[in-house]
Amino acid sequence: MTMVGVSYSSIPTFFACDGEKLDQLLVRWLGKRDLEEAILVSFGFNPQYKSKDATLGHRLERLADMTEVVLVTTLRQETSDGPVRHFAAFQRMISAGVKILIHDNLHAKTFLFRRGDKVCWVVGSSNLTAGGLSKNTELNVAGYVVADYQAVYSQVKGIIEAARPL
Amino acid sequence: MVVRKEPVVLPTRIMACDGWILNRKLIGWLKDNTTMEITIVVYRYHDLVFDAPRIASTGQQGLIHALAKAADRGVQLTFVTRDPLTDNADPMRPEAISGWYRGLKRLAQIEGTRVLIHNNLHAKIYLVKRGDEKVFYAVGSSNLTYQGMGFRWEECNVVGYSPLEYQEVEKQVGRIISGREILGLAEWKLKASKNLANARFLAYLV
Repeated sequence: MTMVGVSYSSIPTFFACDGEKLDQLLVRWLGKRDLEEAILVSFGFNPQYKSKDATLGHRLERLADMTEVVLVTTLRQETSDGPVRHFAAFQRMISAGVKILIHDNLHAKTFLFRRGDKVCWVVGSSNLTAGGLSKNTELNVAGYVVADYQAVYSQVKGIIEAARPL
Repeated sequence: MVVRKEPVVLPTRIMACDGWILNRKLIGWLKDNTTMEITIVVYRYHDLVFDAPRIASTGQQGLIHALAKAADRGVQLTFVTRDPLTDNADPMRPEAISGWYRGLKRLAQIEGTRVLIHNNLHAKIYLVKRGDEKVFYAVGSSNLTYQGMGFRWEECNVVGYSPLEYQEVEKQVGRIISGREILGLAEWKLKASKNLANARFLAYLV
C-alpha cells in the first residue's frame, strides 16, 4: 500500500485516509505477528466484516493468540453492528483472548498499534463496519510519530478506564 | 544484513481531545477576529448552544447565529453536511429536519457562504485559516451536535496546526467537496421534492 502524506523522514509521519485505506492499514497491522499491543476503540464493530481473506473478528482472534488485543465498543442501540447483533462472534473473540470492554457513551473511532519502538495511531470517523471501511465517505488521520501516539493514547486511556468488561 | 529503520523521533504537533475541548476551540475560532476561512464537514449538525446540552430555542444563541455572525464579519464559510433523507442508518425525524433545513437556509443566504449537502457523508472535519497565515484542523468523531461537543458522548479528535498536515486534510476535503454525491442546498431541495418517497418531509423544508 502506498501512503502519501506528510513526511519528515523516509516514512509518512502524518496522513489522511478514507475508510478503504484504513481497511488496508488495519489488515497490515493486524497481520503483524510480532505486534505487542492493539487497541481498537470503535462505536460500531462488525466482527463479520470481511476484507481480503479474513473477517475482522477472525483477525483479532488470531492476533490475541500472541499479543494483547483490546476492543472498546458499545451496547447502544444506535449502531446495528455490535455485541447484541453479533453475539456469537463476540463470544468467540472473548474465548480467543480478546479483551472486550463496553463504554456506555462511546462514539470515538480510534486505533492504536505498537510493535517495539514502532507505533501507529489512527483517529477519525470510521467505525469498524462495512459503512466505515468501505461504503461511507469518511476521513481519518493517522501517523507513526511516537509523541503523537502518546498524545492519542492518553485520550484513549481515559476511555478504557471508564469502560467495563463485556 | 537486516537494516533496521530508526523510529520517528519528533515532538508532537497534534493534540488529541474530547468533544468538550473541541467545543471550546471552535468557539475560539469563531470569535477570533483574525479568522478568514472556516470549512466544516460534518455528518450531523444541530443548532446547538455551545454551553449547554440543548438545541437553541431562539435564532440568537446557537451555532447558526455564531456562524452567521462570523460570515457577516467576512469569514469565508463552507458548510458541508449529510443529506438526512438518504440516511437509513440513523434517520432524522421530520420535525428535526425542519430545524436542520432552516439553519442551513439561513447560512446559504449569506453572500460568499457555501452550503453543500452530501448523500453519503460520515466524516467530521473542521478547517480554520487565519489572516496571519496560521491554520488549524480538527478531524475525529465529533459531530457538530451537543452530544458530539462534550455533552453526552465520549469522542476522540485530533487538533493540529502544522501547515503541511493542514494541506493533507484540506486535500481530502477537496476530494469530498468535488465528488458526485454533493449538491448545493437549493439543488438538493429541488431534487428532494421530486422524489415521492420524500413527500412526508416536504412540508418541513421551508
